[in-house]
Amino acid sequence: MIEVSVTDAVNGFHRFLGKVERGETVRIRKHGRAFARIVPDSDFMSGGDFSKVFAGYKADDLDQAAASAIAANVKKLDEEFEHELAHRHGHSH
Amino acid sequence: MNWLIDTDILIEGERENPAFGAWSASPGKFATADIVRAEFLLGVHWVNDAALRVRGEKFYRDRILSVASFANESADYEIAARLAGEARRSGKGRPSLADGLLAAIAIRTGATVATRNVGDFKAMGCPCANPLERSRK
Repeated sequence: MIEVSVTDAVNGFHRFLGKVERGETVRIRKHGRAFARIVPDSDFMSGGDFSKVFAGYKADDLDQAAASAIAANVKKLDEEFEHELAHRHGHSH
Repeated sequence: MNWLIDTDILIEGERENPAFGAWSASPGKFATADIVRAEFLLGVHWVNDAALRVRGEKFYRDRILSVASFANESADYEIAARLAGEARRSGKGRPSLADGLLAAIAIRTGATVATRNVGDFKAMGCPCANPLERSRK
């Protein structure tokens, strides 16, 4: 993370924006205290770009098994979250 | 339509589910969320079998990281807590905090959550659909 004073942020605004565009975060300090950040933002991608991400992908048996294992873990995560909530607060509260 | 993709749909992508392929070629705009990426990756790191873990990491690096992704903003956390808490109080669903954080982004950006878990997102009043069911029709 890049840290700059307000003065440096203003003077080098376009340069810092370029860094944010490349994925970096700029933290701005005033009198030595961090009070603002310029962070990368996102937007939706077109259908064409999205389908390109998965173009050519072929799942073999190992990929299928990996997907099932990951799905099972995500499900287990939800169940553990449920169990923890129930344990802490009781079902009826 | 702007689609915000949930973890269970990305997993169908890893399975090479034909319905995922058909949907990804449909009109619309697509993105996921950092909380979804994290949930997928947690599932990967939890896998005991090293060979499967490597495949999961590869799919994450090669595919999921290339999908546009929204971060949660500070205000999203309060909204997520309200949405998930109210859904639970009403008995309409049992969304997790991660579901709430995804719903908060969907509502903020005017997107529809692409998920197989439509019940919990409907319970939060969040626009949602299972696009893999849609494309079968």
